[in-house]
Amino acid sequence: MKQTAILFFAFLFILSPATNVGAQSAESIWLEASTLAYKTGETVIATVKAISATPIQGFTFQIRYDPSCLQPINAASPIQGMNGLYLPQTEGLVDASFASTTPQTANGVLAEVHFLALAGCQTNLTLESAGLAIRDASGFAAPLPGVAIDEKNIVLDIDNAAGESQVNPPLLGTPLSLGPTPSPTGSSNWGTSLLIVLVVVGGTVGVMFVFYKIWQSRSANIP
Amino acid sequence: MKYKNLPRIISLLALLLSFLPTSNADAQSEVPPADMFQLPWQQGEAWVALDGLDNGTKRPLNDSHNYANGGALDFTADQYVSVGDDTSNFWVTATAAGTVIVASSCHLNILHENGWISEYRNLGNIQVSLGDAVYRNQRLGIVHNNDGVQVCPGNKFPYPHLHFSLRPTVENVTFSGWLVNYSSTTNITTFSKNDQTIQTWSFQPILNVPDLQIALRDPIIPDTVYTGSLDAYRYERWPLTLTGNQEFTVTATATTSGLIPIVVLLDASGNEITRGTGSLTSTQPAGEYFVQIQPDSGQGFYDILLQGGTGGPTPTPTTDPSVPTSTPTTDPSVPTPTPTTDPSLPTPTPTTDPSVPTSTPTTDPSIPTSTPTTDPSVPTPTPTTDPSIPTSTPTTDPSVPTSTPTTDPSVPTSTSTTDPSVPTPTPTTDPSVPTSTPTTDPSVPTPTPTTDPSTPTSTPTTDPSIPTSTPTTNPSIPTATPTTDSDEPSTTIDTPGSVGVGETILVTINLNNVPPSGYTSAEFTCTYPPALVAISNILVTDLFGTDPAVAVLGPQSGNFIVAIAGSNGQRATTSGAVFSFNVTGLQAGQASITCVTRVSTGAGALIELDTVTAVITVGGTPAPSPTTDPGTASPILSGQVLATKPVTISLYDAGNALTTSVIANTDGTFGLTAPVGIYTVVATASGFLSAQGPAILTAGTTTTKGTISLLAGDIDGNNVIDQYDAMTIGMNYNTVSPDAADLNADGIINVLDLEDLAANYRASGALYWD
Repeated sequence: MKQTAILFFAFLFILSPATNVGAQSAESIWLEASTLAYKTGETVIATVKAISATPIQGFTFQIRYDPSCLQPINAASPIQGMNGLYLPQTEGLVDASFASTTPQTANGVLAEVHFLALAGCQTNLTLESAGLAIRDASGFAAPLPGVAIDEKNIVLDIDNAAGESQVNPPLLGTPLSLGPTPSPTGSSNWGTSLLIVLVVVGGTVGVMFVFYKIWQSRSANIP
Repeated sequence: MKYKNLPRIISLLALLLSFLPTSNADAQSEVPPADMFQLPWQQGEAWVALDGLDNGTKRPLNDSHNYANGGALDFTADQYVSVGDDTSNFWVTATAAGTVIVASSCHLNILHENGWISEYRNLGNIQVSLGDAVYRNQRLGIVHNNDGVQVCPGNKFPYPHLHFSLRPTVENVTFSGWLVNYSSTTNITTFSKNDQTIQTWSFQPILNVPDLQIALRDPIIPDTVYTGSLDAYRYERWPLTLTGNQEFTVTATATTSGLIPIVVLLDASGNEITRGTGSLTSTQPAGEYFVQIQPDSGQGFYDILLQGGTGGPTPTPTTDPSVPTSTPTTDPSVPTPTPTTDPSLPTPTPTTDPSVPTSTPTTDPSIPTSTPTTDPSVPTPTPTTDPSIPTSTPTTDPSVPTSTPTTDPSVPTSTSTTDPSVPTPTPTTDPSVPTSTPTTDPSVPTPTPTTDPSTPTSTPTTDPSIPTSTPTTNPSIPTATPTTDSDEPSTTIDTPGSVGVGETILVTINLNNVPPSGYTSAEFTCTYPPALVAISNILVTDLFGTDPAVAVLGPQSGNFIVAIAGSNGQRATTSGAVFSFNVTGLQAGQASITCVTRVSTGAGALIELDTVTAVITVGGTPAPSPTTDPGTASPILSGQVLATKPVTISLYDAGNALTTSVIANTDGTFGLTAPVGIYTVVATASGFLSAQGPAILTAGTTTTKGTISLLAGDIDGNNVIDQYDAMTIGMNYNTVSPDAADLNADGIINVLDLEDLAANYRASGALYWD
């Protein structure tokens, strides 16, 4: 019985990728999310996946979101050599494009997109458009024809309750910022701000401590 | 005992508070003006960049090269230099005026305007001390040759080099026109200027030729001494208000050896009224003026003093009243200057001493005010320099007013950094000889003028800078200056001597009698009459070896500067053509083209070589245009289209058939002719959204379209700038093809092209061209 069960699960395991592929078109892109329920302040992760028989040198996708519920953070591709192209963003639409100087196989995750859950809401993430790109004979990026967009919509449930303090999960690949134009000094400014806060708080505590000790010593001297 | 920890706590608090940001906060949020800083070596020289900024992959996070810390740059004058080599000429200079706030045996920090701090490490033979005020381009020290020592703590790279940083950040700051770009994603640092981009470790020469900086200073009031600083590419303008018809004297006294300042009086629009070397006296009606101080030669500090002009109330400032006028004696570009206290500098002439004849008689009405420095009747002001060093001023013909520099204050004068240690060529100009080609040996027969004197030249419009009395018949002014038979180094101009209106000729500049030791760099400051001729297509030869560093300013407003430096240690060691350019005739007349040549022998200074002039006769008869039928006087369509790539202008008729097309000039201007009719004019450039609009051409008229800028980014030409255009850049990153993806035309497809695209992302065309 035990061996039969093992064989059964092994058979399922072998078939599972093929079954998954069979669910999609020959060339297709779709949107996924492993978790659909989040709390406010947590990082929402959406995954753009694709299968393609033709090696690609680029892809692009646009995801519509509700800016009152979600704030895009960044995106990244785990495909080796596929680099994000920073382009201006518009509110309510993640517009991401990646390109590589060499053809790459695309079967699985194209990119991960991270959002910050801003407030309690039930909201949709919609893959508004997407495309795979090849490099034509003249060197120009050209859309790979016949690519279908399968699953376009994800419904997310964000609880109004604040989630636990969460470190932004690491991305697979170099992150592509989806915020305003990145400022190289931004991190140092942020660090400076944090330092100022620490200094002010520390200074206040220190001063209070000094006064407390003085008060304590004077109290002790009272006969 | 109860208080034993109190000092510790207070110390800790003080230490913590010391981390609070101070006045640098302002600087952090802004990029300094593009003309504020130069590169940290001598003007006119080319060095190479070694390492640039880092994102933590090559160096520790706390390293000064890390971009989060502001970044740092490593440079060297010679990529092949090794430990112990002679680096005594690798002079490091101040990137801007300021005050030395940190000085050690190997490094200096200089505080500049608005809190910017530049740092120079790995130095030897340091020339300044703590607290010294320094001017831009002042020598600070040399790059230490690292012989037997680790010059500065943290210097891990053994080869002699300059470690340079700017705080709060070096990123996105412009030095001599070179913008420092850094991508933390690719961890690549580049220097970009105009259409050239140089990456660190590429060993491409980076030429230190700043754009001209005209610094606006505080208004001056009488009997107050102010301090300023100059270099070859920095002038200073002081607003002056006169309340009545008053005589006044402005004196500029150099406090740095070698500097000879020129005082120029400008009207409120910046047009020159008069000038004098060292001082000027003038009487002008009430109004707003500027006093511009610029170097005749040398560089450094000066004191300016206004005397007289007090007939009315104290002049009110002409500039922004928010600019504080108090403490006028300090140079705001130098945070805490103490230039006159440096015992190494000669004590300046007391400017308030009435016994000093600072007011030179330049107001003699018989003297042309535009060229007072060349009139031998005008006493030369008391020189502050070693009188044994020949000055370079009398290089022009006193009888011939200089062509344009007196009217265009935006162009630097040609002489500045004469190094007393380098033998200066003997001035070859005899003031008594009224010729503008001083290098020509009078004993050598001058070539036959190319213009037949018997044939009257039609001169409907003449260059005001040239006498109208048939100057080409003056045998002292050859139209093509020949190579002299002297052994003296010299410059000559080869020109056919004449050009028709609408025609183009090639003019070549030659360096002659180049010494065997050669020149490391050369700079040519040239003037021409823009009303008569247009200059284009300036091309540098390989006289300075392959792939020299080249900087071209202009042509603009009758001036252009060509600076050339040999790369990788290459020099010009033979005589020959150094660069050429096209001259196109615009209107009939006599066009005088004058070039001042300065060269460097590698000793760390540019030496003025000579001044040469060629006169080109622009014919009075317009050259026939093959597209113009003189019988029907076809209308002309003109305009200007701006793009970093060549622009094609096409004219389509009502049936959408192509009638004609032209490629616009490098500055985007164009002119084409077509039969009378209604057309659609289309401007296209590879990688750009096109523009189009109507054009109605009527007989005998010129229709001018408005100037338009094409938008970069439509790489695949589908009339929209979209993701696929961006992906084309990504797929061809760091390559040269397809050409349409090289939006900034710098010869490589990279992040700079992506930035150009991103600026116009989602735009669609064609743009409407009114």
